[in-house]
Amino acid sequence: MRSGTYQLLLTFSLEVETIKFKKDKKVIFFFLLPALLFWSIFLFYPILRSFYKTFFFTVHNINPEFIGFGNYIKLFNDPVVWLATKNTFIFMIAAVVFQVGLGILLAIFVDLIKYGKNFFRTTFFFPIVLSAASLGLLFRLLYNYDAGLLNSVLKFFDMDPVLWLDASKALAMVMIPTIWQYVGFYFVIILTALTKIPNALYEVARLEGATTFQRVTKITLPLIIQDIRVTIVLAITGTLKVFDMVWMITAGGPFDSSQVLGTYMYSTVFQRRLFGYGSTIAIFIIVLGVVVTSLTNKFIGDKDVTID
Amino acid sequence: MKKSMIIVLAMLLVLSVGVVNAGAVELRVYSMFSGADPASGVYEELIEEFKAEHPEVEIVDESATLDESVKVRIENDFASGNEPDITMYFTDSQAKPIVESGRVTPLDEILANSPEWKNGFLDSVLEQVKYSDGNIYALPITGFYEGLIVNLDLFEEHDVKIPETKEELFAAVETFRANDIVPMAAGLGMTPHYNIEHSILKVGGAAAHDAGIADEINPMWVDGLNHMQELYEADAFQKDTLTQDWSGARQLFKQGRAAMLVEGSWAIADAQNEGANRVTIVPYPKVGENGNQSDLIAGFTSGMYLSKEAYNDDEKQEAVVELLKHLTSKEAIKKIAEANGGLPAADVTPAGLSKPYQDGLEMFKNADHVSLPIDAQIQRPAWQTLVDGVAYIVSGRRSAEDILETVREIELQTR
Repeated sequence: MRSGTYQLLLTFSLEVETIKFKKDKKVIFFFLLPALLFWSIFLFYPILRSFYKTFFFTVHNINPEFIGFGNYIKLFNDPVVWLATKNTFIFMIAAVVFQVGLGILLAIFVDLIKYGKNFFRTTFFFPIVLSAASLGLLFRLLYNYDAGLLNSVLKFFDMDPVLWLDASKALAMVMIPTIWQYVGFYFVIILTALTKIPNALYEVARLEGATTFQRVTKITLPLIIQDIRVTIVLAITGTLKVFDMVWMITAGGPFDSSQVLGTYMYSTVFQRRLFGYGSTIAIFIIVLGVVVTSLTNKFIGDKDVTID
Repeated sequence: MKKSMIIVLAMLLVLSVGVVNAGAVELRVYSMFSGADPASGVYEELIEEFKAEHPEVEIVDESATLDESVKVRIENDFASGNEPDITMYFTDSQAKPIVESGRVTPLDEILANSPEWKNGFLDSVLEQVKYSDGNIYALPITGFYEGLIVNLDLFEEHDVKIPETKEELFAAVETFRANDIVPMAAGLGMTPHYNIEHSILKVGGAAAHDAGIADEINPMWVDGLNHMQELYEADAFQKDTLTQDWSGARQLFKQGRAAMLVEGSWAIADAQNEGANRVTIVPYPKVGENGNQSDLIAGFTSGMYLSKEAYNDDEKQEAVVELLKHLTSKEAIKKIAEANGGLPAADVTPAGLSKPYQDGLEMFKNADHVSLPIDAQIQRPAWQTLVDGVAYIVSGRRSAEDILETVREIELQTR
């Protein structure tokens, strides 16, 4: 009986092996097909379709008129596109410095404490589960000149109210909630990475008389460099997609001072109804995304530090 | 013998399926009467009534508050052949993507065959919702008027006269500012629509307002936009108006922090609130020589469209026409006008209107001339360019001429 079962299992596993080796490609194809179909319908086709639309002057998505590279020429001569690109890059730098930077700092601090780790983990992660649109609305109300919280506090202390969303501050004011919302995300990634570091290393360091600062800089950081790299790439690609928070708080204004590529594309398509030109901006965002991501990968490199 | 049995059975099956299907005509309807819209309750009642009278018809109500994303969804539905059987949408320049998709039925003949239905509408209103090709594609229900909504308590408390002239307007601005009240709430950054229209109308008069921008840039448009800049410099608006939209402006008015608000009849019910207990609506003051005090922005710019596919579908035709008739009957129009305070498209007198709405109707009756809003007359991309340009104009970063030059360029390109 037993040997019979064993025999059966063996034959079965042999058969599985055979399938695996002989029909490998078919099996792979079979399992990848749903995902491939999904991405093709909802990602590749729309991208190709958008690319096709960039050669047309299309209002309201009807009666397209072929204009060759007209939309691309317009794109390169549109000052708002360049302003939005500049703002997107400022956003990117701020995201890397503050989102990732604060994420690392908070993770290391929380890792060092003995009690209340879970409390901080939940607290810092909490903003992520809220939708950016509702947070945007919240901050829009905070910044409100006549009835906002910030100015009410200033008034309470007998100080003059501040116009928070003027041209010089608007970009920073929309960056603050965006950064605040995502710090927790990077914090959790880094905190998880920290748990991978064996405690023995710290104990040895302590025996050797290393200070906390030395332990962090000589052990912790070098060992999580791979995870930091991932978070930086995530932060950079994430900022290319920034839209909802900016849209809710300033919609890119005043005078396009907080305009980012995402909001400009949206307003071009959904407010001005210029589908062709909006698609051109979308293609520009995709190209920029590919270039920036590959540059990031190149510059940060993938030097990995292993424990052994 | 066996074969024939199978054929008979198959036919029976087909017939029985047919019978089941005949009982379920499904109609998709989109209207703007949804969510916070004051007429949404009445609209739902109308739909329920129809359902009770026609149990064989199933209605899929796709109504949603009409914001920009819903507008684009509707336009795309028509572009891709996924439109509802009855769609409530604009009849002005925004109707272009709907009518030119070729997917809506001209209603002239259908109306002519049903004189009682047709006579329910005011002729002048049917005239106003005609498309540029001379056909009626949409049946109107209620129209709107715009004006200056004022907080009467604030005006009385600070002894300010409700402005009728430019001088009075600026005097009011000065007094309210001195008393730490926002004189005029506006969302100049995102939705300066009503301010643009009234500034041009009351500086340049109806002829200039209605001139469009394709032929030439009317100098009155430049003066009108400069009037907004003058107000901005006089501190007439809330300080953060350049990053706000209508909702922020209305909020300020509702809280009693702002004395005036340029908006339309649809906003009156919402604007009257704890903070703004007593409100009324008056024409925007006459600002320039060519302006006329009583002139208004008002009219009928929306209606119910009938899908060509539904009308040409023998199974649906009768039901869909019945539903359209039901939603646009004289009685339905009266009920909706009573709920939303709008101008009825039929010759009926809405009962039980609150004071500000009575004032509004009175103001509408006394108008020498009514114009459709500018965005009903120029193409969407051009209009949005003007809207986005307002912040630049009032802050002095770009001149009105410069912005209008761009607007005209886009208008010509779009046509």
